[in-house]
Amino acid sequence: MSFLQPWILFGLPLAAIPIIIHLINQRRYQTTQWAAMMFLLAANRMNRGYARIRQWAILALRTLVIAALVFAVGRPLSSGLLGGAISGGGSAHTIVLLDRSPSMQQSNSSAKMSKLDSGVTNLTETLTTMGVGRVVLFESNSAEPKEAESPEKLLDLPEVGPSDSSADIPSMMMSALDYIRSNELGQTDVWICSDLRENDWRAKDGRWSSLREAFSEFGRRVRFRLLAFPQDAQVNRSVRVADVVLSETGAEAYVSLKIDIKSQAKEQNTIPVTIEIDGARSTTDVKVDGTSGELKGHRIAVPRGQDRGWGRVSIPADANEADNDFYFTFDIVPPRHTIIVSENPDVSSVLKIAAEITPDLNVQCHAEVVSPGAIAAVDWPSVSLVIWHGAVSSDGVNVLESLVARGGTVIFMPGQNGEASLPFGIRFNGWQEPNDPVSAASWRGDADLLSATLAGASLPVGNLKVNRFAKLEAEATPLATFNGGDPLFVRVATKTGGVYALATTPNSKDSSLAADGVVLYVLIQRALKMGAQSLRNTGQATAGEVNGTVTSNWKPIATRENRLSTERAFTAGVYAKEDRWLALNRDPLEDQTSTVDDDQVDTLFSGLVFDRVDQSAGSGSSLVEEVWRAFLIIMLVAMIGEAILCLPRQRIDTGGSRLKEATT
Amino acid sequence: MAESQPTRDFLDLTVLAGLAGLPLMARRPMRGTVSGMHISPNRGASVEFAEYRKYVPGDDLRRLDWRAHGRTDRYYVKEFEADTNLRCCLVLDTSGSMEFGSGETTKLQYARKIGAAIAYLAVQQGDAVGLSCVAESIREHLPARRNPSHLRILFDLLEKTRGVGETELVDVLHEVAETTSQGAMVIVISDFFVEPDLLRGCFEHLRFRKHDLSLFHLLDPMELDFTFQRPTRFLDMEGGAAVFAEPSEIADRYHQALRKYLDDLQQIVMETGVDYHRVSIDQSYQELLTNFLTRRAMARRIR
Repeated sequence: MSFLQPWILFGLPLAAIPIIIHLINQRRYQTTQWAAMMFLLAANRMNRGYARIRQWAILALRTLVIAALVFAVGRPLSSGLLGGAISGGGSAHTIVLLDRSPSMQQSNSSAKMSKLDSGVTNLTETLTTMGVGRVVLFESNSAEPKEAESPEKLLDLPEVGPSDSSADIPSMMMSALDYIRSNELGQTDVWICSDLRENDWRAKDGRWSSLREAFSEFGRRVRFRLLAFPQDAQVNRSVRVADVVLSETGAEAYVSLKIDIKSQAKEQNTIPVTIEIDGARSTTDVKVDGTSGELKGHRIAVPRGQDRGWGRVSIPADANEADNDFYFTFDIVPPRHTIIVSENPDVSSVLKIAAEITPDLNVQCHAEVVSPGAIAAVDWPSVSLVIWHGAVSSDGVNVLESLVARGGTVIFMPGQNGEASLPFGIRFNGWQEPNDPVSAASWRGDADLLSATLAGASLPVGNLKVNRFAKLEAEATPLATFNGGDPLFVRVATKTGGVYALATTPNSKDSSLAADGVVLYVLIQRALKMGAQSLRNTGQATAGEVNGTVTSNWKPIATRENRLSTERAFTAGVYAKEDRWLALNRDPLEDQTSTVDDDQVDTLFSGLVFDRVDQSAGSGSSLVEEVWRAFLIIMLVAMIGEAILCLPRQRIDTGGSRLKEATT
Repeated sequence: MAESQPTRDFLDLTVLAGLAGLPLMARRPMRGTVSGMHISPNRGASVEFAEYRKYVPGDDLRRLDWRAHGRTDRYYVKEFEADTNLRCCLVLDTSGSMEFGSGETTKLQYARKIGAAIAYLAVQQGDAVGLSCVAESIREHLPARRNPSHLRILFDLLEKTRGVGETELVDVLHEVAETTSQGAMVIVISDFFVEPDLLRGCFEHLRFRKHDLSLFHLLDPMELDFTFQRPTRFLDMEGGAAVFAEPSEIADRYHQALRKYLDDLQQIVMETGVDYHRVSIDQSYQELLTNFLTRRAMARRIR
């Protein structure tokens, strides 16, 4: 129980007044001579226990009346799971961290109110009840604080609406921390409204320990209150287009789709999927068996000659409408062109084979070997990947920089002498020839070109035998390293495109890359695919991962209604960026329903002042409620009870008119 | 010069004058010493026919009823009622509890008035009256006498007696029953703060001894109503332990105990045929005695 005016509780000792009066009354006794002692003694023996209980009950009820009055005047709050955490009204400062990720749009089937709407409404009413003034909002799409003059103004902010972008709770906490420090705030309540999705909370992120350490310095000055919306058993499905290919065969042109449906609960069902392409709609059924269903190679005819288009798939409405549709774009897949700059046929031939073997019959792969002096003749705008073996001339530097700036990929390999100063800060410092062949001791299997397959199998990078390798110097991220720390394969960070350097070559004298084959082939094909993206007229992106300032001049082709134009980077849809179409959708991880469990949440906030209250979508009432009326009712009931107990018992008539009957 | 009579506050000449026309009658045959106005259990030479009896040799021939002989051809003699005087034995409870009085009078003062009035009436109509003052035992005893000087002695005793000590009414009544000659009118004036079941034996003993038992049960209004307001420490007037009680809390149980006592006593007096009169001492004793005397006179006429 907590109170808006807790100082009133100092008046609670007044509840002892009835007891004091009783004791004083006991002392104010009179003494009298009495003859009829036999009746007094009999009365004493009679129903003593009940009489004593009645006496104590009367005293207790009188005490309760005064205590209830004191409590009522103190304006108690029924704060439920918040316990006694809220008292004395609101803190001096209030910060709200609002999770606007797609999962927060899940609603309650009866209330039709999403978690996001419920959370904002609950917070608004709670903060209003507590008498909070100004509120600072950090929402998941921006690190910039938004101020509301009062809690009610929160509902008017456009930034409390739904979004298709995932949240980054640690980042939002960091923003709050910076705000508190820079403004030197005193007592601050930080309200977090979220549904605890693992994708948003990133419980294993190293930033949490830094945040705990930083916030613990504030002691009790900063209090965290989590308004959590745990997963509920609502039926929810999500739809995603895993692949879309525009193909032309003979006189036909069609779009081939691979559609995935995920279900939150196990079911066996047929889900009607609506596919809209360039305004034309069609429906098909997808069988869901268990928690997923997929439709592969579903073809939809399109006008022949169409080189690009956009579409949307959608499923019937369920608990969360944010994951019921998916936008996609398609275009003619340009051939993947690889340029191999090398003068060593032993090296270039292997690379050419690896680059030309297409992994997808719908994709054409070409590879061309040119000498460093013949690069001027290359049709560079159509090139996706450059594998440069050896030193790079100044012309080559310009070409490569343009390629990378456009989004292409380049892989450098050491030349014959093993020494070269290359663009992007890469340098080969001579061959290292160990006595025995060496292998990669470690490599990045979770991302980039050497990542494990979709099935989870890691590439056999450790099986490679390297007879000699060039010493690599670069400000780069090592993707594979030898024992001793020398890098085998690195990536240089660039804004666009991809820049890689391999410390050895596929020449059989240098390594077993050609002999083993798998690693080289996968590495080249992935680099090629990455570079080829830059040549396409369409693309797919994840909401929230595109620079928001860049999207300001995007033109929406198809998008959700009632969303801010300033939030295009966070709103699913199809947008035209110059001559390129981009389909923006929610993060694939948003379709995963794993949440941070209670123990993890407690661990994340360990050492901090933290309270949690669980809510469900549709609950639009305040988290706290003044319950003084309840105490007045208690007081009234206690007074009635006391009056009933104090009613004089029915007097047994032992005098008066009955005396005349008392003769025989 | 005639000796002036002392003023007695328990004697109200107005009340005595109002009661003078009412005889003090017994409900059952009395065994008196001289002829009087009360029925004797024996047969005597009064004018009131009692019954016929078969003639046995030796009977007074003047009492033969010839008419009965003419009708039945048998010899019968007439029996006549014998009248005798009344021996009234007043038993006055002088225990400590009788000194209680919440108003102008105490139970003992009220008892004196009743006793004095009955004694006066008895002597006036030629009956004998005696007095026993009892508490833990018979403290004072005046045997029943008919002469007016005895009445003065009785009044003196009434005047000087005080209520003190415990009540041992049961033992005392048994003693009175045994020591009083059979066939007397025994009038007990007390507050009867004794368990009713114990009194049953006393009443039956007195009845066995052929006494005409009357009870005047005196109770103070405060004892009946128990209208105390403040917490009170009750001191026992007969020397028992004090009791501290919250009247508001204990009143209902007090009344419950009192009601049970009165009901039990009422049941016992009905079963034992006792002439029982319960009175609150704030009521007029003249009215009480008028009722007492009238009912006895009516009962006598019906017989």
